Amino acid sequence: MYKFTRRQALFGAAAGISGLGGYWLRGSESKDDDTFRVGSPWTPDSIDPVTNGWLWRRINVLEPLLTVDYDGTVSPGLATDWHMVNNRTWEFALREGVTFHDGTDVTAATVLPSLTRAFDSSSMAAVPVDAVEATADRTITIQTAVPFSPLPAHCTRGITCPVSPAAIDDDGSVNEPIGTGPFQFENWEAGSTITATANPDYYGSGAHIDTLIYEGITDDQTRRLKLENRELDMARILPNKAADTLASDPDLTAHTYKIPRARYLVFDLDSAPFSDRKVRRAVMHAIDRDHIVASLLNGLGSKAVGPFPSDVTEWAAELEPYEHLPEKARSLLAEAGWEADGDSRIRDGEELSVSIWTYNTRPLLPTIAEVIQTQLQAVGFDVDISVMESSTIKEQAKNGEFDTVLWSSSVLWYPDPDRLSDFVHSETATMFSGYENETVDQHLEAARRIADRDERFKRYAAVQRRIQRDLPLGWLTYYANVIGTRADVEGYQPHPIESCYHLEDVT
Amino acid sequence: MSDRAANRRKRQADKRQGWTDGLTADRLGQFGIGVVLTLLVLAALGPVVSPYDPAEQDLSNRLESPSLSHPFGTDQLGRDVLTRLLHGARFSLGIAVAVTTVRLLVGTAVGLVAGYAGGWVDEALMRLVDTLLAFPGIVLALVIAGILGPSLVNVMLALAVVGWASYARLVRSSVLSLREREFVTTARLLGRSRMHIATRHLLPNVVAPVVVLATLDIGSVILGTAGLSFLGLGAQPPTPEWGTMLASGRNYLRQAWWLVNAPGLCIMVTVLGFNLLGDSLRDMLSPTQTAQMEEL
Repeated sequence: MYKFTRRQALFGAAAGISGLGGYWLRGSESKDDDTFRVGSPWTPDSIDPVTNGWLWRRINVLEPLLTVDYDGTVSPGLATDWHMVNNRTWEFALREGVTFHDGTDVTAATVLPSLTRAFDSSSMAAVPVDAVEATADRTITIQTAVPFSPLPAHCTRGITCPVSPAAIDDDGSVNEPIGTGPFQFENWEAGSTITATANPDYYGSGAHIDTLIYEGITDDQTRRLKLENRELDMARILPNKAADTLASDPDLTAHTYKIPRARYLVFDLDSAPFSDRKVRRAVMHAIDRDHIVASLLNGLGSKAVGPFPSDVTEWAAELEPYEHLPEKARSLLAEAGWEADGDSRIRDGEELSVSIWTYNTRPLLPTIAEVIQTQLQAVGFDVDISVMESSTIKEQAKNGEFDTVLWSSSVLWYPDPDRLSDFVHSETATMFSGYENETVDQHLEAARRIADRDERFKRYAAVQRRIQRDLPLGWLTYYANVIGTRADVEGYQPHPIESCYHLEDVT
Repeated sequence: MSDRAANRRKRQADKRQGWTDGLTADRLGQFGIGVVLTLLVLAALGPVVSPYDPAEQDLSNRLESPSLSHPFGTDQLGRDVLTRLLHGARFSLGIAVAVTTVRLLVGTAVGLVAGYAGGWVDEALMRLVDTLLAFPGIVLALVIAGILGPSLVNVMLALAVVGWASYARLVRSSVLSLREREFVTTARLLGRSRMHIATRHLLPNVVAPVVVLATLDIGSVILGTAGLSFLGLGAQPPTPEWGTMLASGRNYLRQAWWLVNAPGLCIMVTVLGFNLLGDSLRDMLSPTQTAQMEEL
């Protein structure tokens, strides 16, 4: 029995080390020139557009009614034209001469089942759609319960992509992703790969490559090694540090580009010490974001001011940034009643101690948390860090007390600033700060009803200014993505919102 | 040649054989002892001697490769890896000793009671032990640590909870064979209390195998702690725990191999040291040899 325990122990240690060594022992595979392999962190887990449509949209097997252009605006997709009939009714005119991959014509009648399915699903619960109807041969009419100007933006989401009626079983489940895109579904292996081939009947210019293979590879390092070993032609979302090393390899190219995604702190407004705005402001003044960007992010990405990065989207309002001013942070804390006591601070006999919760599926977050910890300690916070599962954080933060959560998310994954409602609307927010502000709610609701872009911008700018002052969320940094490709890959243009990789343009 | 001379030669040959056996066993044992002692000294002195603070960040010196001023390089936040490893040794050794002690105390107590009391008490305790042993320890520890939430204390608790069963088993079986021995019967007939017999007559006789088991166990506790911390259930950053360091270094595998190799090697050498020490202790204190010594 002793022996067994010891062997097990030794074996564990040896396996750990040899496992690491194994990373370097991958051989390269010969590659077929007409096949393009792309590796991404997300594994294909379903062929149902309602669950996994965004992924099938990214590789352009499925196409939605409307698409997102490279400048982040809503553009034609399967629908060439869309307009508001009255403030609760929208009409979409479908493109002529489009067929699904199985040969079925794309008409209002054949698109309708998919749309109904999507808007009825729980993922679309926040979109107040009352009815989807086929009002003419090529006209789709969508009725909303209330005036809802973000509707076109929601029609770009992968979940709304139509599949052929033949792909939908009698029980309502989807058996094959038969879409309309430049690539058509060939086969897939749940959880790992998708193979798609060029669609010869595509209405647009079509794909330049014959076969597209999508691989879901969760681990950054593995994705990168596969690219270096020529097992991938494109590896998406690599660590920032990889940009330099890829650039030094003549056979590889690194594409870096900014995306509307942010890292931020979510404060619990319902419990001390962050119920006090002065303490939240102190945090924002204590954090040196320039330093974080320059060192940890390797200069890729930038320091955040508000929710939206102004160099990526036009929805960013002009805001007063929180500069790195440790002295100001200290005096704010003193004003809030937290008096310096040696290295720490005390109020009513209680020490100023907070915990930062974060998760490690975004590998940089715990490291950034450690830097923030040091910077907050410098002004007198006692900080501990808990690295947990993101789902656990969501659950615990929604149901109970916490101090602050370091989170990362897209701020514009459908191209409409109504996304702000997810952050700060008192009722519909999915972030858990507990922020409630009547003015903000009113602006958000009003902006949903207004059609005019400039009018809407005014409302969203007001919301951004208000939350910049109230600080339910502290914006830290914006993201830049690093995409590695073979050097001879041409025609690739990174898409800011990444709703589609547009690999049909790649040669 | 007389029988006597032959016998003497045979005895000498036996003696030589035994002597060389002892030496090889000892050599590994000595190595084990050496490793463990070195570690103890390093853990005690290292943090005092090192010029760096394990939590002090220097973002302008991130991911520096090993050099004279940083023998094991620096990590993703510019902290000295060697200093962190030395502090980590304190955590690893401290936790391993603490957890093993708890396992040992609980397990021995349960084993003694079950073995000596017998009857339904024995039955109840042993079924509990069976249940624990039937479950893969690390999986159960994962579940417990997962439920309690990530922290080093919870990992210690989890590891202590799952590990005591083998001690109980070992002690109980020793007690079962000891309780029928004459010296126990004599003590009972002399009117000694059950408590007295258990602590004065039974306990001293089970110490040797328990100590051997404990030494071997330390290695597995170190691995367990590192494993759970690697999975994010144990020490939270910036605590310089080996498993946590291994996990965060993994993200920099291509740029900074020392971030993974250094804590990995530390874990391996430490576990190896304790296992070799345990092995040689077992050889020295094995029941057969003890029996032989009694007969002499």
